[in-house]
Amino acid sequence: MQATVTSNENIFGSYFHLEVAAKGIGRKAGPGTFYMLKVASGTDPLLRRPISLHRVVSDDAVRFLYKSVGRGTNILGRLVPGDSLDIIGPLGNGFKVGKSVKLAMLVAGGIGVAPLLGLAEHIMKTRTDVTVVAFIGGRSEEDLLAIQEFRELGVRMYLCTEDGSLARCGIVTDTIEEYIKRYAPSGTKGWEMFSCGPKGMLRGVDAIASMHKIKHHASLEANMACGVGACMGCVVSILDRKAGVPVYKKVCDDGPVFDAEDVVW
Amino acid sequence: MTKRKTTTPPEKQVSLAVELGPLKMKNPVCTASGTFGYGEEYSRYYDLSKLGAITVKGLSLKPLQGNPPPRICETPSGMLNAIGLQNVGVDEFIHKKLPFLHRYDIKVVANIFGNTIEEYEAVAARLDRAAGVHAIEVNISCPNVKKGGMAFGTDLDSTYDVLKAVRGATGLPVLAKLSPNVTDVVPFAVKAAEAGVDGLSLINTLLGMSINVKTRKPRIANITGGLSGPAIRPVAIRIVYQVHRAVGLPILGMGGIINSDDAIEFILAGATAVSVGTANFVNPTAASDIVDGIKKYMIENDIADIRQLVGKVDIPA
Repeated sequence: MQATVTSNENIFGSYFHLEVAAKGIGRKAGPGTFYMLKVASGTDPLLRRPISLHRVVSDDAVRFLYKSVGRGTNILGRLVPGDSLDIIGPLGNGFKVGKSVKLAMLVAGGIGVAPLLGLAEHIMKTRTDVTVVAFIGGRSEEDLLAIQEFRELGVRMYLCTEDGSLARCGIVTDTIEEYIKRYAPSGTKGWEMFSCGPKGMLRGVDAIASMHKIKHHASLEANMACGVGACMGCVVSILDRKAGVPVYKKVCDDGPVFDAEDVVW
Repeated sequence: MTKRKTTTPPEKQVSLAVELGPLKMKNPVCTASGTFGYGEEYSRYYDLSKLGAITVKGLSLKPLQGNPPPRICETPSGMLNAIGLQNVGVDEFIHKKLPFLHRYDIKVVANIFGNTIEEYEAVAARLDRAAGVHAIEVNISCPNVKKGGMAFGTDLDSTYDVLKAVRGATGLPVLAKLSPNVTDVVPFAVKAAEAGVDGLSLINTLLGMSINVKTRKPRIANITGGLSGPAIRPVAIRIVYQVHRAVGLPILGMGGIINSDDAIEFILAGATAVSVGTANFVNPTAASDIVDGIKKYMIENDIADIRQLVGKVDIPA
């Protein structure tokens, strides 16, 4: 569909907020789903860019938080309000918050926070029985994103930076371990983790989750051509429980959110 | 106020029907293998009956896991892929995927490959008995698998042997998908004709490679991959042109078709029908849009029958 850019704001550094409007664009958008954006007409760059949903503004508007990291997202950064943007989505299977969840631990590394704000909003709106806490890490102060939005939602946050420029110095797994050490003795029943970030972080988070038997949903990313399940380009290795062997699953339409226990890191 | 009489001229009737040998298609637009899944993925975007045919993801005797990721990367006006022919296997295709396509008025082309001639033969034989498969496209040109694939397609005798075996295993129309990764495709097309195939699919991807200069590593895990997209179109056009002039077989032309002008370009070069590949990834309705665009071109240029255009590139004397 053709969407209209309503804002594209450089928050700081290489991070941008992009808001687009199109009829029905946000209607079926669940937390953790994504969109495929054609950042320029023509054939170079050729492929769409997968960008995860940050938050649903309304049935007819969605917001993205993205990092300008390469040619495609650099072009995206130059869009101005009123520009037209060719967009497909929402796509993929996002975060599912099971009935038994009592504590949702959102774990973000850098730009991985993008889909988690939408998840926090979704949980707070639909599940008053669930407590949300967010563990947000980044390389440096400017990589801790969406802090203000989480604060406005009233989500308790545990922040850290690798260089110590803001909050505690360390990585996100340190803060989770401390949290668990402090609160787990009274029981982890109903605790689940929802994570998005670099693969190394996700693997570390998963090790903690398994150790404490906390269910962990991880949102993965991959190079992607089509986004709709056809190209088989975006596969990751996932354990097939029935067969007991790893198989390649597509991030785009089997994921992007997977049961982290099954991910072959 | 009196109503003004308006007369709209009757829409010009144009015929888009083509025949790839015994394979009759209601229009010349097909999808390229590996770019359209098993059809279902794109049925959410338009009515598949709009197309002349679809070619499904390559099928092997047994399910195949494919290559490790990363499998794809973008290149200038194109992409490299080394999927490694991940597929559900011919039996699951027949039982689980094919029935879905029965609901569409569309020709189904099953793309097949194997590690050995016997495997090619066996897959062809199973598809021969499956209801709703209208043709077999033999992939002897995949650059991304060690055995089979391109190993057959870059050797003249192997090309003949594998195509002859498939020809003997099925009464369905057989298309040979040839490799562009040879000095001259024409002798391979001649061999394919001798083996008794009904048509040629030209071209498969070009073998390519891309390196990340920051990490100094290849950008896909397989190191090399198949280049597709508009970047390869001039190469594909050249090969279709050369083969069309040299060999009498009908050609299913493909390689970087993004819009209907590109499709017409292939037809002028000598293709009877065209396959849309990488464009499906960029624009899910690409193949459907191309059907409309070809029709529009015909009306605007007073072409009553698309077959009139085949090979009609105007080469100055």
